[in-house]
Amino acid sequence: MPRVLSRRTFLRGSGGLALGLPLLEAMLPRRSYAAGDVSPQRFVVFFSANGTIAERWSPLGTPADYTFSDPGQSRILDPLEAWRSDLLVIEGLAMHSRGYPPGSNGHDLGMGHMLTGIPLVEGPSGYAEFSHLPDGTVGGPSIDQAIAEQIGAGTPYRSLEFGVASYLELTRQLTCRMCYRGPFEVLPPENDPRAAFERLFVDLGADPAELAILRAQRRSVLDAVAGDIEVLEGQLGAGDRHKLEAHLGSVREIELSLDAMGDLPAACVQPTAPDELDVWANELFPTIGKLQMDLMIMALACDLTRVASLQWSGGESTVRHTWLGHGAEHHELSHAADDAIEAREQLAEINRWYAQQFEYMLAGLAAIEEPGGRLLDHSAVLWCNEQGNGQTHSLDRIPFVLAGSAGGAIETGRWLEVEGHAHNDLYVSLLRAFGDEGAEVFGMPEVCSGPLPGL
Amino acid sequence: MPSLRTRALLLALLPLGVGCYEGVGDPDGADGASGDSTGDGSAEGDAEGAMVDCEVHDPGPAPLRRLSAFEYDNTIEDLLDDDRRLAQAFPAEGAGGFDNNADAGSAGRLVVEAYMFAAEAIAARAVERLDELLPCDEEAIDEACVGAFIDQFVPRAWRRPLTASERTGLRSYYADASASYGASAAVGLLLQRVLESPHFLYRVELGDPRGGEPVMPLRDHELATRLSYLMWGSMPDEIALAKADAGELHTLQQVEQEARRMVADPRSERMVLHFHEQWLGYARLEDLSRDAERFPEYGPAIVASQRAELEGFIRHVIFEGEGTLHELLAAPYTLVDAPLADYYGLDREPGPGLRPARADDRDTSGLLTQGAILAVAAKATETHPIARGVLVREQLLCQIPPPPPTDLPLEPPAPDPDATTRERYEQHRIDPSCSGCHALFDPIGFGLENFDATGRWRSTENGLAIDASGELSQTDVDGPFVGAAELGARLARSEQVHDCVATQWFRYGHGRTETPERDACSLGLVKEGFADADGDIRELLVALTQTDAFMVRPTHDAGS
Repeated sequence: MPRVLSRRTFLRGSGGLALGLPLLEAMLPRRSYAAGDVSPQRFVVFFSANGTIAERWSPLGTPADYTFSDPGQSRILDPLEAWRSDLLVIEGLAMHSRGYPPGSNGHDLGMGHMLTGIPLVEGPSGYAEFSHLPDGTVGGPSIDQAIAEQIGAGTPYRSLEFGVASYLELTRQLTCRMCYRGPFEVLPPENDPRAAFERLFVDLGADPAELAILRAQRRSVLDAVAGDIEVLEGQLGAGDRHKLEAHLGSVREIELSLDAMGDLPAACVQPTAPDELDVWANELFPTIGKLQMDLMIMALACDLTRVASLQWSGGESTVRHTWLGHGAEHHELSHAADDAIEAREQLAEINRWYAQQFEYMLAGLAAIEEPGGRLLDHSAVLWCNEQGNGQTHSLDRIPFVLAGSAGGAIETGRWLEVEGHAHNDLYVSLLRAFGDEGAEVFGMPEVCSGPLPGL
Repeated sequence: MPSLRTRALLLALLPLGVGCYEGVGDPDGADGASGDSTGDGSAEGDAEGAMVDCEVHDPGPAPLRRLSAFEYDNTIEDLLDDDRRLAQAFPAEGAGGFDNNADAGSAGRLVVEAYMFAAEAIAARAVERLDELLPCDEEAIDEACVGAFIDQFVPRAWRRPLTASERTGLRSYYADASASYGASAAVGLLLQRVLESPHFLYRVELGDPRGGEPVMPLRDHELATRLSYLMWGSMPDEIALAKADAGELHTLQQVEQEARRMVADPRSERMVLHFHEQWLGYARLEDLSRDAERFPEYGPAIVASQRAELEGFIRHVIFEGEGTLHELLAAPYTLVDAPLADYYGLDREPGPGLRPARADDRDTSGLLTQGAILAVAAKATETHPIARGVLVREQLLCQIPPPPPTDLPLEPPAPDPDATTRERYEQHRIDPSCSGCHALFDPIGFGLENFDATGRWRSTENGLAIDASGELSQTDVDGPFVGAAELGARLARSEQVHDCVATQWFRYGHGRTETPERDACSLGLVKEGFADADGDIRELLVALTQTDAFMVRPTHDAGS
């Protein structure tokens, strides 16, 4: 059966609200601020796939005096040169937990360990010795969700997951996803900017009276549904009950968000409604990405959420970066040999292009002024990758870049070499930066050595 | 409970490439502790040959199943005649090769919000046509009318009779909503409340507990639901519900009879196509990106024709033709429309739409030479013999190839305008660190080299003649072959392939990957039934229902 393209307009248009007034004209109340007000911390994950080329990625010079740029050569981090003081370049972290079974496909392991730092879990079939775990999952929550546990309450969305052509391959689900509440609790990303807009921003422009009725109606339906789930839970076994509890948790979250919409921050502006696009069209990849970043930035500015992620494609991305003049797929290029000059150059160009996208997002976050400084200053934005070097599926020297100080908790403007540490240690440091001050471990305890020294 | 065979061979994932890393120095050296995960199959090796006792009933796990997007859409269409297929916009879910895998994950917020938006849209449309929905005039809606509607509609939506307290609860929900928002809005809210309920979204199985026994029979309505979602990917129809209401749907014979009725019903076609789309991996056919310079004529029109070709072929074989796996894999014909026949350079019988096409001068072998499948297992710029070989290994032989060794550079052969793809992969044969494993898939893919990256026949590449000789190894049909037709004929008579297809259907049918020990007897029966029916796919579907895995389930460990 041919796939039906986006039906989101149907979904939202007939049952929910029509697109309403521009937000600034709407009557939703605004926050008032006082001197000394502090803005909330935010955490953002930015993912691109297939590893990097270390010698083209590393800063040049010494940690005391370095640059991302070289007039004689196109370098991967060059688009971020102007943002050096906002960045922490972290070199040398390895996914040590990836060395532990089960699982053995480099991209499954990379995606599954990247944000969790803990061995995968085999599924009920017990098949675990081969390449992909057919019904397996991650071993624990991803770092964005652990941070959401700290800072996610009180906003309408505990976290928001955005994707850019983040497809799901049914035989390799682990390669395609990165955010999890826990084992078997995957958080799939929203790939459609139009749907994301309607989900997040339509209510903000609605007639308050109409909105109040809609919310009361939704609450009445969800209350009844929650009652059904609670009765059913008592009739089923433990595994099934766990599923129903998760479903009930989702229902409760939606119910809470019907109340949570408080006064809007001054910086909150309703974005333009994106057109309906074929979100799987390869040539629209850059367009969709920009739309998703715009929406994510405004969702953060409007305080709809404090934790967000953007997943460009997935592990083992097969996107063709045709707008850079490339014919071959990203994954294939990532395996090219060192002496395949043209392919290696194209791979550097791809990584440099993602640096440009990262720059676009930083600029957007920096353009939002809020009490205490720029939105970027109150955020930590983590650029991560499921591989170190795509040629070998290496788990060493993952190219991490962190932007923003999370409200002064992280000292930026540095280039840090931390060879020998598991990437778990970075996440321990992040947990501490986001309020879990006693954190000593994240993910697999055996590979942790405490917070990252010098961070 | 079904009376089954007495013993079965313990299942095992077929290990492939034992020792295929021999040429590699130390594939796991840099990985430290991953020595257990090289995929050498040793863990499974121990289990081979072990027997399990089939007189002990064991249905295997029966995890709670939520409707897949496909099932949601079909159900809404059958329930409310709303064919907008809103669930196509739900976030994609699935695992183990299929979108209905019950272990893929729980319902997160994005999914539950999607259920809410969809139910609102479905209710909004239904309320526009209240006269069709309610047993009374729109102007005369009262609680008696809505009560009658609840009694008639909700048992269909929840696929079982209502309890007295549920009926009371729904009536009072309507009464409250009606007081606040008026009668027709309240009917809409009632619909939303029914469609967002776990009783609609999940296939709840309370079963019929037998004291402290670990296994219990299913209720008639639960079996009706298992049958209809297996055969149609949708809710039970009036006939199945009536049989369940009458208590006439719980013996093996009753279930078999109902299974046969459903397989023969045209509604089974969409389910069979949906299975194939996932099994053979062409769900994303429309998203393929091909290099326009190399393939200027390839585009959305050809893709649409290729999908029509493949679906037309499957439908023809299973529902109009011989219905066998042999025919699916080895049919010396395809069905194409005129533009695709031109693209392929293939003579076809004249006429509109899909027409049969055969050729004496080229290989045609059922699914193996379908353009859509060959295009999916290819790269943007060229063919991908490895991916094609892996497709045959994983999906047709149920053999899982070992992963590429970690920290060994995996360099694709560089482009060379003066060589064929096959010649460029020669390194895999020469280099001992590659050859052990690549001998498992490259020689299968080479046999399909007559088909380019868009599935079009070619006899030369870069001006050089195509060499389509290949070899099958570690199968029950080993040996050298030349071209797709010989490969197809070989696979079509393989017992291993037949068993694998039975296994794939088992995974789809039960929404889970089989467990080697607990499913040995049930899956053994399915394989036997399929073999006894000479590989008839529709008989395989019926056989799926005649097992412990289908007829009974584990007792809920309530309170534990």
